[in-house]
Amino acid sequence: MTKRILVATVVITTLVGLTLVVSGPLLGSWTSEFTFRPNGSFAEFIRSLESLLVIDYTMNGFTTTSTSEFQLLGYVWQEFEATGTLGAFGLQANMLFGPSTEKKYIYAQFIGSVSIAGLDFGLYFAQLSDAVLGGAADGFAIRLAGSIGMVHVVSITELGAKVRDDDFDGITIVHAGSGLERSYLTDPVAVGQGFTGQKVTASGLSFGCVDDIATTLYLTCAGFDFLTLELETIDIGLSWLTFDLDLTFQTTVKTIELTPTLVLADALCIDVYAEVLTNAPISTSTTNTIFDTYNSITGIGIYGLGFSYSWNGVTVKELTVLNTARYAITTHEYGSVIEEIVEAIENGHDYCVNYWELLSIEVVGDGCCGGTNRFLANTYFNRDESALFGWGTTYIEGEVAINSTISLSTQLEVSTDGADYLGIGVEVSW
Amino acid sequence: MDGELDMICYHKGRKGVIAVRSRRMAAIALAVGMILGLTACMGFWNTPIQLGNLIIGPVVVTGAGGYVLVSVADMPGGGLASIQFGTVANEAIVFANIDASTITIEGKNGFVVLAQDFATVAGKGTLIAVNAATGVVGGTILKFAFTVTGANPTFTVYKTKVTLGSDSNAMIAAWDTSSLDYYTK
Repeated sequence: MTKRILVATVVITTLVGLTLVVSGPLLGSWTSEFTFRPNGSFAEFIRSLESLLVIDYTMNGFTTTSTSEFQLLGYVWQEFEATGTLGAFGLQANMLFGPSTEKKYIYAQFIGSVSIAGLDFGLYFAQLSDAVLGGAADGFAIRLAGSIGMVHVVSITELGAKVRDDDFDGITIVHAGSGLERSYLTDPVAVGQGFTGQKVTASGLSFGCVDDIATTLYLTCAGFDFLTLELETIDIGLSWLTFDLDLTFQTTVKTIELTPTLVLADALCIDVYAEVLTNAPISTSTTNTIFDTYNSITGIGIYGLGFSYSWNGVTVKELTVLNTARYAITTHEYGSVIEEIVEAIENGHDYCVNYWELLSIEVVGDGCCGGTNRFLANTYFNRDESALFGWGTTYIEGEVAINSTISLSTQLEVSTDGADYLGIGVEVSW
Repeated sequence: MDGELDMICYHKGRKGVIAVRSRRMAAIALAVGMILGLTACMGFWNTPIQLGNLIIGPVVVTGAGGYVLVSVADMPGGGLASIQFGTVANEAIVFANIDASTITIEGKNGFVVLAQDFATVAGKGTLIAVNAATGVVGGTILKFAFTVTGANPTFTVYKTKVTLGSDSNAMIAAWDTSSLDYYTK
């Protein structure tokens, strides 16, 4: 008798669930890509195999998203996200699992927010498992934001967690075996929920020649940590030169940094990438700044040139890096832009190590039966190559829409060594 | 009348009881909050000091080939700028079921391999890599790719033979190795 009741319950629950699934909108996409090296040995033949399955289900104002990512080494990520509103409250929840590793549960985050009478209130909670180096950890943060006249004030009370903003980066979790990563807003930094920090930021002040003044005060359990004053776009009467000033007070140290910025007119045709040079050493935080004994502006450096024009769905772009010691062109996955190398490394952007010039042609058009067709050809040139014009590598990518829900893609990279790799892919959406 | 007076007195008394209870609850909540706050700031929930970590990823086998990612996390002094895996005849890398002649090393995040030796001593290797652009606080620094010659290939790094240098031109003395599957940056 009990077994019959159990079976009936399971059947009824399944039928109700299926009914809900069918009645609610279920959207999603599946993208798969396989690349191989035609010139490589047998062991090197397979270059990569990636598959991404995203399923969205929306009901009663809530959207639940499941993201499953597969690579050659296996089932790397399984991520769940739920977002929606409940009355005046905005809610978001995230959970991350690593199915291919011994410990599956990795991270969870919950964010609740509400706006009342112009005051924004946010509650952040996150938990990190001990499968992650530096875990286990969990913590809260409470964020209050509002405006008093022209001044915008943000208060963040940290109870074992930091929240992503101008000073903190949130949390990025990296899978050591593949290098794949996931980023979230809330970074739990301490086990338990004791007080760990208080940050108050006021911005939007204008004074005299300064358009925007922001001040930030940060306290921790150890007491005062830092107070910063940021003055942006200080007008010194020169139309082509402005300064940003960063004044930082710490317990025993005060630092002043001036960052000069060139103000160039809108480019008519050619983009000129220029910077003000100082005698400061090159590093992530001090390049092109004036501080301590590095108090000289040594000149104006033109580190790159660019050209871009679009017509009838065709875009032609050309980039030239003149200062290859400090700047590089990012790969097509990161927009093919000129970026400072130290910034590219800090942001995790792949860049072309040996190439100083890019010529790109992109054609976008409507598919015959829906969807979008796309063709991209990026050609990179190297100063040291002996090939014609210093040609180094050409990357070609084509995407053909079968209809509005299915598209096929192909990739080819050719260099002076021959065909580096070939790839095929498919994307299905519903 | 007397009954009504009794009720009023009862209600006032009940209100008074509630008020007393509320004040007690508030005081208890405040005391708990103060205790939590003070003990948090006294270090009971201090985050342990995070040492820099050298993370050796698992050997990922794809058919006849395989690879290992070497990454870092929480590196001090502006990040890791140089790394040396032992020397010839005192190699820091030991491997098995991997064809040494097929080992290729790709620098990541600005790292460049200056020199390497995987041939002098069978099953052992050494290399030097540097990052001239910047230090890497967290992220992948090297990718070792190779042909696998047997089941269950292994790739081991001996911490005592590895030397790390930071972007501030100082040796990183206090650091640890990790084989965990995930890290943060």
